[in-house]
Amino acid sequence: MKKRVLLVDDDPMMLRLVAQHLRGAQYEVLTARDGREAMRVMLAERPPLVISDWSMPDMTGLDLCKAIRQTEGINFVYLIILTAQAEKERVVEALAAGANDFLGKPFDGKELLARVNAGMRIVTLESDLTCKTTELYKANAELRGAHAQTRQILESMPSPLISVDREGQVSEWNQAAERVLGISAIDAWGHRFDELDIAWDRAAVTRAISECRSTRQPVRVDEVRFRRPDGGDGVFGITVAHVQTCDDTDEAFLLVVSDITEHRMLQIQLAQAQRLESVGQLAAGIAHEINTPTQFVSDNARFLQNAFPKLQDLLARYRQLLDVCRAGPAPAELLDDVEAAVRKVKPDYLLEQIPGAITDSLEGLERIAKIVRAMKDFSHPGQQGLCAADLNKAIESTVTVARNEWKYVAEMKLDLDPALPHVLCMLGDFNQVILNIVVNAAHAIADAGGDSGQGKGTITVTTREADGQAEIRISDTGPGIPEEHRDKIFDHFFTTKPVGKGTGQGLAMARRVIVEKHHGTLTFETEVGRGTTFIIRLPVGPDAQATTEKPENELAYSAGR
Amino acid sequence: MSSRILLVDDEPKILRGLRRVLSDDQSAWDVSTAGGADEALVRMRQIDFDAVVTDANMPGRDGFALLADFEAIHSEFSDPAGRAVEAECPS
Repeated sequence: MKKRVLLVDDDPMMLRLVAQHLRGAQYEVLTARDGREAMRVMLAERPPLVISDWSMPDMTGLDLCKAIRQTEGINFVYLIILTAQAEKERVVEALAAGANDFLGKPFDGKELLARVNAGMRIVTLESDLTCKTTELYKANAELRGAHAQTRQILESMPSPLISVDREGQVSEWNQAAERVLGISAIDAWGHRFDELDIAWDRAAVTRAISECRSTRQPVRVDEVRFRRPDGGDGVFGITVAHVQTCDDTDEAFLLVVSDITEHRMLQIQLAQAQRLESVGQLAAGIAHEINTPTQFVSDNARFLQNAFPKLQDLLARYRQLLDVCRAGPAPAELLDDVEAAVRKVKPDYLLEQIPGAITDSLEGLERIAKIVRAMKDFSHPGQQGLCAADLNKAIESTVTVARNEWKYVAEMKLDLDPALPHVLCMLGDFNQVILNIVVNAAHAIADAGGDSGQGKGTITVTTREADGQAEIRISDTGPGIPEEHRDKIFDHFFTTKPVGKGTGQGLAMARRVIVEKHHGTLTFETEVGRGTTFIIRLPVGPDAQATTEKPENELAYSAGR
Repeated sequence: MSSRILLVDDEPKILRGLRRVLSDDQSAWDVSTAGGADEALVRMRQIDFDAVVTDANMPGRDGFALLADFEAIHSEFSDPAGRAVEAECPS
């Protein structure tokens, strides 16, 4: 604060005297001879402190005080009135007019300075106070704004956002929570979260919160089943975050709830699409597998078509010969005629070949039917989720649809344990895993030279039950996996195939399916130069047994009736 | 004189089917068969075939390589007339 003082007095001697004292104490002094001039200086220079004589012609010191106090735009000014002894009784009147202090004339210089200094301190404090108040006001306004903005953000969040305090009471419940969970904020606020009437897997949510409480780490739970307020089932993904207050004495839990029903459905559709896509990729090979039997079935049919009229013709001639012979001795030319026809038709050859042509045709048709069946089983469009499955049958189907991928480089040996129990399994995904590993095995053998006339390799698939698990071993006689690749083969995007040939997703996908979806294991044994064996182990749960037996019981029941 | 023809396929049923169809006019064709490229090469060196019909996709040496061999072997025989080269396209 600038040390400036305005002196107002109609007595020039007084002005000079007071000014002298103040200047001596490093004050900048402004002067005015009357009230009006004082007001002009006041507005122009804005001194923080004014010392005015009481008795002045025209406009008294008291009038000046009132004028200053009434003028808008003048901040706090400290007013000191100089009074003659006679006017001392009227001090109250002066204070009422707006003066802050008074000083009797004649005055003591030290007292004057002491009172001016005190005044200046008050002015400084007053000014600080004004500043602080303004700041506080602004900060408050900002805080309100920020709070409103936070509310707005919370409310406009499309996902339910719920906050639960350490006592388990709801302290935040946004509009999305109202909408999705069907409970209004008024009914939720302050109530125990675990007592709210929400149709969802409460145990899963409670588990997530207590896990978050103990680990203080965000916890994510997917697959939380719920029923919408308007009916209809869905799946939530919920993230629970631990909120620590700044003084560390309190905690809360923030739940962000996402309706991932559609996402889940898309994932299922995507998995289905990927299966169909791999059927598509196998299509060229499958077409070839179907074409081969189609070729020889139609060749044989054409052969039978040609053979039949020839045999018909021959039969007609024999009948004619029979009729003639019944009537009497056969004429020589008729016998020559029949003999010529037999030479031409070669019935011995036809009779020898026809059974084979029929057998080959039926076998060809069976082969086509088998491929079509295998395609249907492989793509498995009818089934989602876990069901008790015959893994042997699944392996046979998959190996069949993929036949064209391996048959040129390898013999396929299936050693499938007929006593293998059914296993709870997502068959479409399982087939995909077998396909990936079998195709990899074929590629490995081809790389080892199985394709260049050095004899075929062998792919062996065995199944057996071991220690309550179904074990599937897929072995190849390829070159084995080099040491430096062994810890990478299950990584996403890792591939040894040339760019554009392998995506590096096959084994990563296989491990995810086996480990995450089936709680099984996928491991491998490999020896460079000898080959690789992939080993899948799936738990055989008691559930699988139960589901398998059920239809058989039903069958027995209906047969018994 | 009938045409000498060699059928090559790793699927024996294909060979039997083709042979049966061609037997319709046995005076026109003298049909031999081979179950793979190696066997076909042995036959080609014994007999100067007029035509070879082969599967394209076979384990080991494929149909295209076999036909190239056939051309070379065929030209070594004294009579270069009336040869035919044909490959079954992969479907």
